[in-house]
Amino acid sequence: MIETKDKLFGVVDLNARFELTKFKPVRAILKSRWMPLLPILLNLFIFVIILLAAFTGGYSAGNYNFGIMIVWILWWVLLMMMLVPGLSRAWCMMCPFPIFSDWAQRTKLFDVKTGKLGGLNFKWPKKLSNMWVMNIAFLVTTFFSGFMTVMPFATFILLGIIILGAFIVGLVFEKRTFCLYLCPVSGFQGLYSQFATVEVRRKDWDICKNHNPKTCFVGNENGYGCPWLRTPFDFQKNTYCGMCLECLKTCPYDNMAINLRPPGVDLLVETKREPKGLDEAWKAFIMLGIAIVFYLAFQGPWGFFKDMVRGATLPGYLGYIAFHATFNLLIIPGVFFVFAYLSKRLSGNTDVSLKTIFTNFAYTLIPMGLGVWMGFSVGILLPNGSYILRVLSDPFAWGWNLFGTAQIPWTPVLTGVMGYLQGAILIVFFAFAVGYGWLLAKQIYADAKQAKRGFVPILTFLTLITLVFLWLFVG
Amino acid sequence: MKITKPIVIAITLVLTVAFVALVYFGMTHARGAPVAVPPLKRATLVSHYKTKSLDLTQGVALADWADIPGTEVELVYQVMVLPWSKALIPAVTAKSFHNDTELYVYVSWKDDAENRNLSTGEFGDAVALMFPLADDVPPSTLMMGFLGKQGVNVWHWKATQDKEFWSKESVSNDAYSDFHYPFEEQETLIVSKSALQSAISDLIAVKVTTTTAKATQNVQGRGVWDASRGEWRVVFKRALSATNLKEDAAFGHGTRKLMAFAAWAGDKGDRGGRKSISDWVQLEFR
Repeated sequence: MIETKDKLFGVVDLNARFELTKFKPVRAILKSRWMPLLPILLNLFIFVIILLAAFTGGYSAGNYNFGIMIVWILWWVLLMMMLVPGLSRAWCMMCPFPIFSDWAQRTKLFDVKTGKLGGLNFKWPKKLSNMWVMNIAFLVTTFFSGFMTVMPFATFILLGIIILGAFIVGLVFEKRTFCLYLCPVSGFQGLYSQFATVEVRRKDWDICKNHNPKTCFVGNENGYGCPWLRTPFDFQKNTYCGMCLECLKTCPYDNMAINLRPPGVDLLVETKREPKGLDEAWKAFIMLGIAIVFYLAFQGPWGFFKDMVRGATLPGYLGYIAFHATFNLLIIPGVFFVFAYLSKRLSGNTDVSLKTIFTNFAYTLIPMGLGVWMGFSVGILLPNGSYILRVLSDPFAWGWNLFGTAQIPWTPVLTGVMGYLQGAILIVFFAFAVGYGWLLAKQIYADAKQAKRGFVPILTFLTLITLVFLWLFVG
Repeated sequence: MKITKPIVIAITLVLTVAFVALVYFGMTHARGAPVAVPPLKRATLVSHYKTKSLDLTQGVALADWADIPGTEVELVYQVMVLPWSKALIPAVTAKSFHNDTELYVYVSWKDDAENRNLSTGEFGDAVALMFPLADDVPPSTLMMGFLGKQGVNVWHWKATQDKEFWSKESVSNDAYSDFHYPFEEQETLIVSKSALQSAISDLIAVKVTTTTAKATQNVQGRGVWDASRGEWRVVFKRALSATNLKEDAAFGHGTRKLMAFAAWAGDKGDRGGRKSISDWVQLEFR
């Protein structure tokens, strides 16, 4: 853990940690090989039903389809509102998609295979060992959002491609290469997990320093070397830690811990192994831009835009793709660049590069974007959540009533106050963005005066974004 | 077994072909195995044939509707477009009859307050009926904005308009700024409106924000608020035959027509898109 003197909002000690694994039962559970195999198997079962429902659902109405409702209402909302901000990449821990390639590589599901793993074990190209491929993959996936969120079969195709891709990539490349660099869902989880209130970290550096070989990296009879190709003994950010728990199992000194921590601590971290990069900055821009476009498309009043997104006409759909890509890849970063440039000019600093200012301040968009997505998720859950009760009882729309909830009518909940709820969430996360923005300004610029002047344009940008979303949410 | 390049290539090919075949099968068998989908349970409003007609200048009399069975239509929040409704009118009760030339629809709903005036932060109560002009409409009214090129015919009764039309009373303060700007022949900010022909606006719409008054206003109506029961009763009246099939909903004895309801509670802040709406209701002429 990197010690910092800074305090968030002047009061929150960013070095504060509470180790959850200091409790013996917790550590015992997490060190068992049943973890995370059990939740993975449970999710595998759920996703089999999702795939079957999405396949048999075909082109039928998405609101009565188990696949659509569980993936795009329940899972997405859980991910954005609880799993990522609370538990970091806990979803990656229990994601069932890589289980087939893991099995093929290890030839074992439960026990540990020592020695070289199976598969071709190619290394992923260094130039692509970042978020760029995931950025494009996620953006391209959203081109089809107007179909995936309403048409069960489109969801089936998407999930099928991801599962197939994870398996084949796992046969060709080493360990969890797919999760690290290709999975469309992985990128934003990695980015936003920097804000999470949970982390996996080593406890005592001296123990790790003197421990050879580093079993958390190379593995031993208790577990595999980090499947995510990290070095658990010294990583400082959640971004690429898939929380697979192998390092807790392989450390003979119980020197790995799962900690509770103040949200957002990783935003201030910059090490040689984990530098702040343009790939992550663009991920933040893309996520913010997609949130705006999705809001306009799915919760906004502009019918013509909805028609474009759902492909009512080919020219309209191509127009949407062109606008969506340009807006996310160029316009949002371009606007932010102007504010970054103003920051440099106002600060009066000539030593720090504009690229550094642009990249580092882009990390303020992590809490901002997370808040926006949480607000958007509230807008999905409250009006549509009641459909979930219905599809649980009748997952294939075959007239079943497993839990007696199949006849529950569509019942929007608290929609009268929804806008205010979304606004409140947004303001809380705006506060985090401003709080961390100020700390980043102090990191970027040489002295407090420069930092104050240089932070003004960024504060203005964050305020404008917040006002735009407040207008969208509250109307 | 050692996983070699040829094995990986073979697995990749087999799985990819299998997946593509599965997708093709799914696309050509959209719902998988044939499934008997039960028909949607829609509320039905029967328009009974009667020989009588109603004179709306005499108000709305309960006795005229006493022998006609009502249909309770559940409403839900409008949450498709902003602004979303803040309050819910849970249901309206609808009745209908027709004679050889006219259709009558009666709508009542609980409302503790009569709101017939407009002011800053003050809005009127209202109710509307919506009829699709085309036959092939989406299965839900929630997507009112996407009813196709032909759109819908909407009959919108407003308590404020009712007061203006029937009582000839103003519903808002007559305070206008720059009604006539000095030296200008025309109104600079248009606040005058054409003389009301009815308590009901006869409208057409093809999607959200396109609601437009028709050139010919064919619907009459009247509403009364019953203070003792805290209830609105509104009657709509229109000729059975359509004046213009492109704009007017078509009806006829022995036919069926979809319709939907919307209601506004002015004291709860309902106006415009802030309203409670129903799903489609089957209107049957017997």
